[in-house]
Amino acid sequence: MLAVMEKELRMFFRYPLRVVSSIIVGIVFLVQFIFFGQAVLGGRYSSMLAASTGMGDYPTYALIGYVLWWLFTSPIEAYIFGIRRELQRGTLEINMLAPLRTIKFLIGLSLGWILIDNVLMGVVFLFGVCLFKIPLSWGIILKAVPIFMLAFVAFLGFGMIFAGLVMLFKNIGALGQIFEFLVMFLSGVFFPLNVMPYWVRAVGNAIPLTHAINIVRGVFVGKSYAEMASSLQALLLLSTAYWLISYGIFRWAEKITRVVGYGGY
Amino acid sequence: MNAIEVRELKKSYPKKIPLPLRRVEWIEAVKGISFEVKKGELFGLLGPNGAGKTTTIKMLTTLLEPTGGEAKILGYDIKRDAREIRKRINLVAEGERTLYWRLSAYENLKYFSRIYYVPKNKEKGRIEELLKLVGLWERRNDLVMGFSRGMKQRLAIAKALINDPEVLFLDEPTLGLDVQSALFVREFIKKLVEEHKKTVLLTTHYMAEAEELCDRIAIIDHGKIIALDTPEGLKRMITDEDAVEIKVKDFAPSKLERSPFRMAVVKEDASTNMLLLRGQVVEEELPKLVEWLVRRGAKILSVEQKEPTLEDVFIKLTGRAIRD
Amino acid sequence: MVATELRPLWAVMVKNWRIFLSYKIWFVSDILMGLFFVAQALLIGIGLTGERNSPALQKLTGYSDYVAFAVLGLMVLFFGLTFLSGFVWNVVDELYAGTLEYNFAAPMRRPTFFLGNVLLRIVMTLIYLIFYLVLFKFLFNLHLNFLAFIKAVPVLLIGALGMIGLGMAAAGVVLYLRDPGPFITVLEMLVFALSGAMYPLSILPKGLQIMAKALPYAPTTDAIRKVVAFGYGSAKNEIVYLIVISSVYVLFGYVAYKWSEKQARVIGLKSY
Repeated sequence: MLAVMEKELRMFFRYPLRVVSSIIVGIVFLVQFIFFGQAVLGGRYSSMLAASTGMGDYPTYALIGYVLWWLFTSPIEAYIFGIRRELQRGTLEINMLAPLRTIKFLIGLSLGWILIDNVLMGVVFLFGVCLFKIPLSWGIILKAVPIFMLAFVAFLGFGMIFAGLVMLFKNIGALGQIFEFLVMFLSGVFFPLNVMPYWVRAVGNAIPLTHAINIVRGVFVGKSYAEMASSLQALLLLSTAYWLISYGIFRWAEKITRVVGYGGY
Repeated sequence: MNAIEVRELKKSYPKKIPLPLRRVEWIEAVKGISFEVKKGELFGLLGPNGAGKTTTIKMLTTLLEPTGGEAKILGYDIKRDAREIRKRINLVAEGERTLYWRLSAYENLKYFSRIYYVPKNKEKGRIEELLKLVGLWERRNDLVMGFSRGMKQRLAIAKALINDPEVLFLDEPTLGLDVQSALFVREFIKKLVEEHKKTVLLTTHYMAEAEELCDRIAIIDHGKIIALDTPEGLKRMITDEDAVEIKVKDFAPSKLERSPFRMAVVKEDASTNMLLLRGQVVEEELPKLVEWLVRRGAKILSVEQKEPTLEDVFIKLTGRAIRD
Repeated sequence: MVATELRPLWAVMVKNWRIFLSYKIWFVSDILMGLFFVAQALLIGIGLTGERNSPALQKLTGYSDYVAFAVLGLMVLFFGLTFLSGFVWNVVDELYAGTLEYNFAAPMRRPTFFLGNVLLRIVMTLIYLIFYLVLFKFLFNLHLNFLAFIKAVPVLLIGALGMIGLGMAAAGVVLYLRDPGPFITVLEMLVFALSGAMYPLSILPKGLQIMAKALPYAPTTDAIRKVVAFGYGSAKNEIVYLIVISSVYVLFGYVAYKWSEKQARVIGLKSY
């Protein structure tokens, strides 16, 4: 598994300009919306936002949403692009033949990407903290870390659905990206969900990202875990559910591809 | 009048992009070559990879500017009259990816006919004629993406005839083609010169191809022309001696550098450790050569006398063989 | 000379159109991109203020309808990116495809080739923009005065000249990079952040403001927003500045293009 990861890391850092460009894309995307929000507000505090979500400071609100969204999307992209690349290189079948268990191989394949992706996310986060002077303390960080880890486990399971899909349909890169952008609307990344109709909020509640964002925002305004028990329960429940669902889908996809062949490019 | 006249043509490439204030090293790819090609002649540039063949073609087709010397195509200077030349010539570049894969064969030719100023009333007829000539008329509406390598090359040749050029430049026209396609392309080139009276300059590193096709051949190595004659004339350089092919095992080719014999490695099989050596040896010298090889650890598997070919000319001139 | 170049020009446009059509997914993602940004803008605005109008924005820019503000900015940005990315990607794509050399070997004049690329892009972008305007009108109940918008077209064209200059310069440079993809992305993002599409530049730190003013995008956006809202009379300063900056970029683009053309003949085109 480590070998697979190392291979991915090496391939990425061969092009240093790619690292820079990924970070800049991340930053520009973030500041677009925060600056827009500030321009509309004429400041950074929204009493409206405070009333509906408990957090009034828009830059903090948006930064948390964005960072978690990034964490959420990276397994999806890792699975999609990892498998697609292997398919393109024609090496998937060889790797599947190796004694390594398929699921381990998949996670190895994606962990390299996820690691890089999250380091980039960290850079963007720090940049955001400095640019917008987000109030940050060790207490908050320590309290947020377990949530991030829990959320990450949930996201890893959720993303695995796409690993199954990509094996079945091969070319779903565009679909994956559209889904990722759609989630921005469903999970309240840049705006509060109460502006959305009821059914959108219902769909949003089925996505682990929505709850993870809620909890971390709660941590930032100083709520205790107990106060957010319902969100925590939802996150745990969804995490288990998605691991089971995606594992089922993946096994099924694997069985089907064994029948119809992996198919090359 | 000559179709092509080349005088002391030189080309150097910078190792890095020469920005103002940046000192860059230059590498000489073509070191002053001269030759003429008569109208209606099929002229070949023969040499190993990296000898400067493609660079020469790119200069003559006005894609690259020479660093020195001059050249005229149909009386036009390649530096000053680039556009006039472009109207009257065409080229098939090396490699597979030169046409638009996402367009059909017909769309490709239509596009090129327009950027070559083919008159509107001739466009349709010309495209149809060319597609039939290269045997792609039935597949005219298919995307190039789905074509085989050979079909792509045939289309590239049709493209190169779209402006009815007087002079045609072909860079390694059969490289990477299967046997059948290569045969078609060679026959086609012959027909162009014999029936359509085109002047053709082609580059190749296949000896047999140069020998079969060309009226005259310039052998080029390290950016210089080392011999220029008809195939017969070139072979006459070596008729006093015989060509010998020796198959040996367990012999380090580097040892050949210090040998008194002009032998070169023609084939190498790393897995079985076998080498095929070729060169000219007078009959009386043959035992000495064998003895020399054996003393250096070689196991002789076979010794054969061969008809001299252009390969032997190249070996005689450079001490090396042209290989892929 | 002009007459003989018309057929090749048309051929370049048709060829690019065919190639574009063969990538259907681009079309969808292009449309969705515009929708994505405008919808975000609307929802952020409503979520933060509960209103469709923002007095704060009115004070900064004169626009109280923030959706109209964002739509105008994004349209100029999309239009501008046409030249930059469209231009650059076109050249890079042809280079990757290996087809650039045959184009350069043809007697067609080089500017015809580049112009053909740009013209098709402009036509397509205009179609997109009209589509967006109609879509947003229905979807978000956008209040934009169409007449005022048409009035601003000459300003857009002045700005376009500068953007073409920048695009040509970028295309010239990109031909000689080892890995052009990320470079283009960085450039695009820079333009995105500094174009003032979604927010007034005054909200940016001082250094970035100066950079934004030095690119042709933000001055175009500023001038157009002024013209649409208040007419030509009050936008005099913005327009004069735009003319100056556009001229500079036209000159810059021309020089860079000439340099690049010379390089192409000295070192040859890169092959992948």
